[in-house]
Amino acid sequence: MRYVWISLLLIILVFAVVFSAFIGSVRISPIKILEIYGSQIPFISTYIPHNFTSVQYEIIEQLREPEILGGLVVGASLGIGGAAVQSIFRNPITEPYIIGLSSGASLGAVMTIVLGLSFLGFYTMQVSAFAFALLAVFIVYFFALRGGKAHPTYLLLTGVAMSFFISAIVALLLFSNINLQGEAFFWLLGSLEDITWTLLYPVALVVIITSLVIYSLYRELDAMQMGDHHARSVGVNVERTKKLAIFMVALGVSASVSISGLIGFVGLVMPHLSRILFGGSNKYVIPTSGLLGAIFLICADDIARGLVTGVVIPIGIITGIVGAPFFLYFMRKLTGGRYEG
Amino acid sequence: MKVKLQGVRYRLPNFSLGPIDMDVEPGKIYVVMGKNGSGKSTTLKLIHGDIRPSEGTVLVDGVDASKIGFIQLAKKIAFVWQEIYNPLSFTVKDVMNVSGYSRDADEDDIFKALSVLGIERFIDRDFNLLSGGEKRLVTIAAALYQDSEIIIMDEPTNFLDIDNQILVYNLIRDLRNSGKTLILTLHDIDAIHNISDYVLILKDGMEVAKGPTRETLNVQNLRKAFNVPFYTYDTVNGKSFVGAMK
Ligand SMILES: Nc1ncnc2c1ncn2[C@@H]1O[C@H](COP(=O)(O)OP(=O)(O)O)[C@@H](O)[C@H]1O
Ligand SMILES: [Mg+2]
Repeated sequence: MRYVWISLLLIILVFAVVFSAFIGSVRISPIKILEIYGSQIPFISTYIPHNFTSVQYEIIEQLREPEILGGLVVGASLGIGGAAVQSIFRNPITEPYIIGLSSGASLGAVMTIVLGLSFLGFYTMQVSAFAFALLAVFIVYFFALRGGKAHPTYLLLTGVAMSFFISAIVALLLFSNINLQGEAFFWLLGSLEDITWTLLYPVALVVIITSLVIYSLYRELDAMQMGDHHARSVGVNVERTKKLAIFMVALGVSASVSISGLIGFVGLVMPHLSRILFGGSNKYVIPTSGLLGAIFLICADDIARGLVTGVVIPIGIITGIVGAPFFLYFMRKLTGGRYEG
Repeated sequence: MKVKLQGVRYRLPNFSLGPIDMDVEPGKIYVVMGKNGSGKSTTLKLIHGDIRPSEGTVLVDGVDASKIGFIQLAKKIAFVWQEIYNPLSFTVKDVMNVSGYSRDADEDDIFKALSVLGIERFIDRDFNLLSGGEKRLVTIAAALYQDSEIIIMDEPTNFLDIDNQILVYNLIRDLRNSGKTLILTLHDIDAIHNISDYVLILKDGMEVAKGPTRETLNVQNLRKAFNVPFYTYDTVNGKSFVGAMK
């Protein structure tokens, strides 16, 4: 039964990817879009009629495809990262951002905007956001270490404190450069609009690899939900797992945040949705949180692009306004006391 | 499989344990007893290698416990923890699977382990929604499923009703008779008397007495570790027991 639902999610994801290209300020007929898709597939392309203009091809291939697939990659990494982090912390209200990631990424991004850095050309901001996000996680992790062990509670508190600290620095930077707030504002609210193939390829590669590693740790992460002591006594190398999982989450989510900006809610909520639908074992929670995150973000981006013609609403606003009420409704309907006790 | 504690000490800022010397022989039931905070749980954690001694060594089959690989150690020692944490959302079966980490998964064995505790009907229930006693039974079943040579249980009868207490005591005896080694902490003096082979009595982190239960669990030794009055009584079948005035 579980596998039927998982297959269904996969089908929904494919549909979301295909049909999201229909949405946008320039109208291109669905038939043409399907033709454009077909023309990109080797071997099949010769059998496909080419009734579209090169401008239409450009719009789909250069603008919409990377944005949609970017939503897939970013959403999946947030969902998977959320599932891992919640297991490590044994805490349902954590998400990947909590280990210093989001504030670190903000600092990296805002610094390049405010200081006008461009040492790496077009992608200075993304690279800097990625580097600072990773750096912040490392600092949090090593600060939380006591006698070679990173206790979940210390890790969490250190992450929260560090996030406050870095966010304050970000605020200070913005405060002293009022005219640049607009630009930073959009990054802070998150957007998939600026994702290009050049950005997407490396990030997708990182997200795929880190997700596979995280998935390979599902039994260890399950055990850690019973407490670090318990996990150790059933044979899990808890500290190694924690280190590896946190590093993989940091790598994957930093990479995706660097191209999308801060998109909240997905990392927090998708793992819960997946636990409600598929049960609590990470064998299912990790992959389905990724699937749900991808579907959710692609759909949220459709709304962001399609709601008001000519305006792209920052996606972070959509995930909050649309996602939260939906989740609250769902949680009341279905949990049946799961989180009580 | 043997465990040997040699001059083991463990120091914390406000508590110090030991020196403790102990030889754990296979196929016996050991009970560590003493007041709350006397160092029982700490002793069990030292045996398990969960914490390392400040001084002395813990040898498991002649090897330093801290040098044994995690999986290897899990095959030798299972631990029923005093505190039970709530996972985010697990069924009883998920909890059992966690304890199968060091062995080949086997659905039948999960079912068997639960049946031993009479809780096979819980298998698909939400673990977090079980009562304290029911959770305790599940964690004991999980330790059985882990199928290690030694089982450590920290206050395994906490929260259990009298039927389930007897069930667990009988199980502990059965496990011993099937060749397993058990290291427990218990508070019930009658039970300790009835089921254990050896006792270690602690007070404020110090050994006050240890040895075969029959010789060691007497009024003098208990007075060293506890403050309440004790008495000896005879049962109908001619055995004598110690007990506290309740
Ligand atoms: N990690 C720790 N830090 C400080 N004190 C501790 C720690 N672990 C145990 N203690 C203290 O050591 C004493 C013995 O604890 P424990 O072995 O758990 O006692 P018990 O005999 O009740 O199981 C207690 O006073 C406890 O507060
Ligand atoms: Mg204790």
